[in-house]
This record gives sequence, structure tokens and C-alpha cells, in this order.
Amino acid sequence: MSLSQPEADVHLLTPEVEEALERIGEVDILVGIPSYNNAKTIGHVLRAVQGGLIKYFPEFRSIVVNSDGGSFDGTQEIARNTTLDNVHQILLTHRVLHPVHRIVTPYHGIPGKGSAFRTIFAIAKRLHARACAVVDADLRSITPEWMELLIRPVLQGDFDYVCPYYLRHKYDGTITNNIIYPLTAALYGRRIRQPIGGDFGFSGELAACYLTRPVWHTDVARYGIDIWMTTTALAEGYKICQVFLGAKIHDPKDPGLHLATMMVQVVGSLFSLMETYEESWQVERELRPVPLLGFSHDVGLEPINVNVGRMLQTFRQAVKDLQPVWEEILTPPVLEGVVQLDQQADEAFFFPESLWVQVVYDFAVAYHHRVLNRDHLLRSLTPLYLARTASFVLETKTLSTAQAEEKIELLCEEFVRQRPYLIKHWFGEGG
Amino acid sequence: MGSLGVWLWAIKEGVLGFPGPIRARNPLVEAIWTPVKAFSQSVIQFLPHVLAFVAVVLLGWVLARIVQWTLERTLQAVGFNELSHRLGLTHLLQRWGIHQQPSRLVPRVVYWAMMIMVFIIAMDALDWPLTDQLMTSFFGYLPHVVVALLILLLGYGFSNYLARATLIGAVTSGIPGAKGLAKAVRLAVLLFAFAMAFEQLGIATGVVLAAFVILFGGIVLALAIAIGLGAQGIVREALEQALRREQKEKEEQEPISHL
Repeated sequence: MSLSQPEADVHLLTPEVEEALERIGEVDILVGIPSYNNAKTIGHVLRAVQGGLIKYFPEFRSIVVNSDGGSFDGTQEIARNTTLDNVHQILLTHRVLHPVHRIVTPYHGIPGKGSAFRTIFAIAKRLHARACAVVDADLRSITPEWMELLIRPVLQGDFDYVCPYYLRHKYDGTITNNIIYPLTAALYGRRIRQPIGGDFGFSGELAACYLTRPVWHTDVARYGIDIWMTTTALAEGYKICQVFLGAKIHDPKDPGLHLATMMVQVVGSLFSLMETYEESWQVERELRPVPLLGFSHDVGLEPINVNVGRMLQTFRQAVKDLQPVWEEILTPPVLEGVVQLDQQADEAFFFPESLWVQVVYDFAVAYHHRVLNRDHLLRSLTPLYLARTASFVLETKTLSTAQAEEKIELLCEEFVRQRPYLIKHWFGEGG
Repeated sequence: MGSLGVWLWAIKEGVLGFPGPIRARNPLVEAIWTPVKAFSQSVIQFLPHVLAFVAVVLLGWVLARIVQWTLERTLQAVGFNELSHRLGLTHLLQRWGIHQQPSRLVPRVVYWAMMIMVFIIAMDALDWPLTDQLMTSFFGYLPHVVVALLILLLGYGFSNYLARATLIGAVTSGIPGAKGLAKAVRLAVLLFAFAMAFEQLGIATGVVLAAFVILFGGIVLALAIAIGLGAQGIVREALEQALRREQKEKEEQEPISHL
């Protein structure tokens, strides 16, 4: 039985939260922090958020909502008890007209960040919040300034959706650099550099729009919420900007670890959204930049060690063992191009952009036409992706981050140039 | 049927009533005509059964054709061909030399299955004692055959699914021998499916079960011994590391230094 929207929202909130919302009435700004076992970092995040709201929006009514997925490491207790002990540590002078309210609530629904966001959207709608932001609970580099950057463009700048722009190491965010960013740009005509950044600003109107979509019992609720939010805002014509947030500090990982699962989750969500919005992206459109706000600056970034040899070893094994699977997905010329890559030595390995784009498009088409089980299909992309990443690492070994960024922009343009290939196969005979 | 009855009566009177006076006078003629008369009576009594047989077959044929046509359209509409392709059934059929699309093949099989049933039911109209026994046995065994076929089909599809998942998972994890591992998984699932199908059909159930238990039990035992013997070094090292770590944590927690 499906519930009407108001009933669905009511069932998301506990009686205690309902009571608190009744007392609060309305707010101008809402900041949501989804969490799950983030006891080590949530205190810092909360202090940064509170400090930012007090410093930059003292005349506005604000609330911080921690939506927790059942943490058992004391995250909720820390969230309830964290206070900004010494405001003068971060503020020289401040004038606070309204206290910053706080709600710590468990979320209901499928375990995952999406369900946490749904609770946050529901509270934003109930409180008629004008501007909202969500930040991850594991951030180490968040500062109070992030609040101004994520919220001001919505509150006073007429934007509906604010994407983060982080300064990242050239080998960080490899899935974003090689698939998510260029594919999203090619499909929807907007250069959003980090569409799955994780920290966003959005209007109350957009939050209410998100709530109306029937995605909360799908994989979006589990792990696809970031790309879904960005794609929905893009495809439905909301006004979008990016803000420079500096470095996003997190534990650096070798791109070769745990990628198969990430492929299924993130790339699967992106391909699924292509089906939802195929009427939108099939329209030819020019690639336009998205305004970047904030003060751009350089930061020192933690180095990342990448094991190129292991990546290529996985690729070469896949060429031997996964060809019967790839035959069902890739068109014959693309498969032949991929197989020929195996003949290159490790030191001179090069995966051309044009071939990589066709690989991604063939996988998207095969996903759409369900040529085989989607989980298997997405996992079988992993060795090809590792090969492409290894090639990028080798190509940019001696380049600076800015120079490596130029390579990514070239890849983006290749995705745009080969749009007709995608459209022909998606709407035509298929993979 | 009314006019047919009149014709049958006329034939009967003409055959049986002739040559009445000659028969009464000649024992030889009587000896010839008695069996002819008996045979004719049998034929006449049997004719309605034959007509019923033909009618049942005709009606059954029409019904089977309708079912075949409807099923074919339905399977095409729900994308049965794509599902079969994903499960690997199309590939299996092609390996067996069957190149027809599954959405046409399945209705065809259903059509012929229905026609066999129609013939069996029609034979009942002939009123032969043998057909009763045949029908009882056939319909009693038919569900087992259907279930066994379903088990084999599902088992084959599942074996393909698991084998491919194993192959892709092993390759992306960098496990050597991924192909062999996938083949082993496929074989294991297929053996399991065959054992279940044979049990369903009641074919040598004791032998199949014993063979299955011996084979899988043997494999598991061999793996346990191999892993136990082969990994003893790794296990020893892991235990030693854990003990050393525990020891180190204890020492670090001690409030005073002894030096």
C-alpha cells in the first residue's frame, strides 16, 4: 500500500522529533548531518557547522539535524552533547539573535545515506526552511566557512542547488574523474566537476521536490543519493552553482581497493538515472560551465600511492578470463581495441580516451538493454576501469594537479564528441 | 446423428437381414455369415467411438493451436527471449542445435504436450481397457516429469548465474584460476540439480543419493585437509602476531617504567 506524501513524511519522524518541531515552528536555515558510527569526527563537524551558522547567519533562524542510522559507537550521544564551548576561538565578535536549534534523530527506511537525507528533507519541509545544506559526518577539513559557501548562494543568491568543488589530488576521485564527471557533463550539458561530492546546499523548494520522488525504497536510498540529487537538479532545470571548499580531507585509498562494489553502486545509479531522464539528455545541448563561487586557492594535498602494476595485472587477467562476458557488452571493434591493449608493456601502457568513452557508452547501453545481470555487468567494468586509471596515472606522473585537470577536461570533451554514438546505440539496435 | 442412425440401421438390416431365407436353409452359409454378422455388429458398435475419437482429436488440436498462439504472443510481450538469453538458456539450446527463439520453442513444446494428452484422452473414447491403465500411469507420472524438467532448467540457469558471479568476482579480486573456479561452481550446481531431478523421477534414487553424498563429502573433506595442512603456517603466524600485539599493549599500559 503506498502512502500519500504527508502520511509518508509523518511516519519518518519519531514523536519526540514531532514535538520538537512543533515547538520550533519555522526556520530559515537547516543543516543536515547524516551519520553512522562517526563518533570520532561528528563533534568536530557539529562545532564547525554551529560556528558557521552563528558567524555568518546570526540573524536567521537555524537548525542542525543529525540523522543517524543506528550508530553503536556513541555518535548520537556525542551529537547531543557537543557544544561550541569557546565561541571566541573562532569568532572575534558575534551577535546572535536566534539560537541554533539541534535535533538528533534516528532515520527509518532502508539503511543508507539516502534514508537519512529523506528524514532531513522531511524536517526541512515541515519547518519551511528556505535554505538547506548537508555535510558528511566524517569530514576532517570542514570549517565554519563551509556554511556560508553552501548556504549563502541559496539564501541570497537565487540558486537552487550548490555543488562542492574540492581541490583534490590528481589521483583522488578516480571514478569521478573518469566516469561520473565527464558522463554527467556530456548528458546534461553542465560541467559540474564533482557531482557526488557529498556536501551540498539546496533550497527548501528543491528539498520538497526530492521528497515527492518514489526512490526511497530503491538503491538511491542505499548509496545513490548524491548522484541522484545532482542529476535531478540538472535534468529538471534547477539553477546550479559550485562553491570552492578547499581540500576534502579523508583517508586516502589506493584506487584499486573495493572498486567492484563502488562500480555497482555509483555507476549503476548513474546508468539507472540515464533511463529515468533519457528524454532530457537525448536533446542536443551545448556544454556550459557552472558558476564557481568562493575564493580559489591552492592547498597542500596528501600524496596517494597507486599500485599501477596490480591494476594492470587485474586487467590482463580479465582479458584472458572475461572476454565471453565482455563479448555480450562491448561492440566488436571496441572489444578488439580492449584486447589489443593487453599487448602493451606495463611501463608504456596507454588507454586512449576515445576507446574508454566507447567502453563506458557500451556498458551504459548494455545496462539499459539488460543484456545480462546488471550486477555482473557493472562488476565486469572494474578491470577496464583499472586499466584506464593506470593509464591516467602513468600519463600524468610528471604533471601537476592543474595539468592533470586539463587531461580530464579533454576526456570530458571526448564524451561530448561521442554522444551520437551513445544515442545511436541506446535508442537503436542496442549493445 | 439422427440420419446417421437411420443409415446404420439400414446397413444393419441389409447386411444382417440378407440373405435370411438362404441362411436358414444352408448351414455353410450360416457358418460364413455368423462371424461376418458378429464383425459387422462390432464395427457398427465401434463406429460411434471412432467418431468420438476423431471429434476429440479435432477439438483438442484447435485448442492446442490457440494455446500455442496465445502463449507465443505472451512470452514475446514479457521479454522471455531476453530473460532466456540472460540465464544462458538460449546459448544452451544453440549448443544443442536448436536455433529457434525460446518464445517460439516453449509454445511449440506446450502444443505437442497438449496433443499427446489429447490423443490419450481420445483413446479413452475408444473404450479400451488398456487406455484406462495407460492414462492413470501417465497422469500420475506427468507431474514428476514436469517438476524434474523445471528443476533442470532452473538449475542450469542458476549454475550459469553463479559461475559468472564467481568468475567476475575472482577476476576483480585478482584470484588466480578464476575460470577453473567458475567451472567448478557450475559443475557443482548442475550435479546438485541432476541429483534432485533424478530423485523426482524416482530413477535409482538410492544410487544417486549415495553418489552425491560420497562425491561432495569427499570434496569437502579433501578441501578441509588441504586447507588445514596448507594453512597451518599462516594460522601459526597469525596467532603469534595476535599474542605479540596483546603483549605489547599490556606492556604499554603499565604505569611505571622498570628502567
